[in-house]
Amino acid sequence: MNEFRYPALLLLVVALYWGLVLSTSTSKVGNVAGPEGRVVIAAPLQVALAFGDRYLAANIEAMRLAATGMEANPETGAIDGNYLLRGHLAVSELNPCHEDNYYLANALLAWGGADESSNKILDVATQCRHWDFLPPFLYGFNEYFFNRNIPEAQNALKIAASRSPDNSEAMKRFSIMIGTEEFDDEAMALAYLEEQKSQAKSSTLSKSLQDRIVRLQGLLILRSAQAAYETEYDQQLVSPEELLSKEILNTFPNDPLGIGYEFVDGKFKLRQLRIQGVERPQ
Amino acid sequence: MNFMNSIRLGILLAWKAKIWVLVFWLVVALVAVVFTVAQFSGRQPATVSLDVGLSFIRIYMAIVVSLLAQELLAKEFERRYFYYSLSYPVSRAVVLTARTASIYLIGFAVLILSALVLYSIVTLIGAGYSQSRPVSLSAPFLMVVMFLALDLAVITAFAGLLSILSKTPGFVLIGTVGFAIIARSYSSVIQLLGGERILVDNPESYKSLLSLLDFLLPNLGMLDIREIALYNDYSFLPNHLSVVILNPLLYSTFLMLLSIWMFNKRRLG
Repeated sequence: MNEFRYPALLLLVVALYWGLVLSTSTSKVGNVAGPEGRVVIAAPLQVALAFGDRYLAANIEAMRLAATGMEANPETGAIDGNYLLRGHLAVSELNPCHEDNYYLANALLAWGGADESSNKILDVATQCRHWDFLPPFLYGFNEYFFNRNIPEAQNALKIAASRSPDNSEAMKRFSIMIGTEEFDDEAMALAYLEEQKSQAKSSTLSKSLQDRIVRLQGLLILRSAQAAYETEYDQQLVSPEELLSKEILNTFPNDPLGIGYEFVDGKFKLRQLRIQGVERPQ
Repeated sequence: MNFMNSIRLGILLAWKAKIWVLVFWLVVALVAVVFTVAQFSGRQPATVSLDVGLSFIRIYMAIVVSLLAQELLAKEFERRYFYYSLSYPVSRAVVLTARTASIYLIGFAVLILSALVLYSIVTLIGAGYSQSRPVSLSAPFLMVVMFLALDLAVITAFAGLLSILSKTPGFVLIGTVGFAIIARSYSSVIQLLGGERILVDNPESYKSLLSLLDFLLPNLGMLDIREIALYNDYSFLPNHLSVVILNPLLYSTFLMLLSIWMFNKRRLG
């Protein structure tokens, strides 16, 4: 039995040790979130930790963000946006050309309230990925939608159009249309559109701008008809059908885009396409 | 024992040390890692898999070469084999050069094998999801691998030097790996520190101090030109390509000469 002395003693000690571990383990603490959020190591240090390879550091960090970014912080119950921000910025420093980083950052940050940081990442990606139309397009859209900075947006869209022959018509059109939206006066917007159409070199762009010109002209027709009704009958227009029944208009103008017009609060307006969750911040 | 025979001897020694087992498992690990990593990328699985595959190869090639140097050079002092190798009428310089050349040749062969395996996997992954900007596995990939071979030459020479200098074989691995990490990272770290206001108080003075390292260590980070293959774009090639190629060659020559000099002076007892 002497030969079992040491194994038995060892087993006893191991059992005691595990007993202690089990008795003192509390409920799972979970991740390492502190009050400031999860740790994102500074970029130079990540390079050293990744065996001197900044591409590896960028990939590891990008994967870590993809895997853990959407977890809710157990203390606050919300997604830790600050952690995402720091993480995506770190990847952008390590490898500005990284593709997954910029579109994930844009999706999560720009629409989560951190559009400036998202734009920083997109700007760097635009310069590094000089073949890719998507970073400048997203950048331009963010500038238009969040910052209402039309000239900056149009510049970015121009870059995007030059990088993508397939999409350049659509982007040029978008660029022109966000320019028109900033005109309060529809007549000025119409003049601007007609000038753009005369300068358009491609027939598809010309045709689509013509559609929009016709749509805007239709709105002006409706508004002048309303003004004529109100001066003639000396009362506010209540329903658009009055214009037809009083024979001020023969038919309602046709919208070539098929979206149509609407009569809201006593005014004719262009009906907007409403997409859930995409409301422009006022 | 002429030069070619010495090289053959080196290769046989490595074979006896079962280097092929290590290489086999490393290649298996490469395949596993690359396939796993491709799952993490939404829109560019081939690019990310090529990227991480290249990183993994760079890491383990440094380790393989140090282990080879440990086996073929450092342990020879322990085993007293050098008494036999040096008893032939050839100079110590030739013996050391031949042995180091055999280390490099094996390392180069492992590199080519790993590159071929990576080529196959990335082609397979690229066939699955077609990216808007596919990776380039032809001439750019070949260039990346050749530059990696240059990187390997410097690390081999350093491993050889450490084998001659160190008293224990185990130090060769640690020292070479540490050298590889520092030499590969210092240029990126300097560049990133420039924008980093949090880590250091005065990045500019830190930068100028660290730039002294340019004169002491080889800039192996410059040899990592993988972006030409990842994004299929030659504009990512560094300027002054001839300097970029010559520097590691000169540094390896320097380390080799240093090793020969030290070997000439070393007592075998």
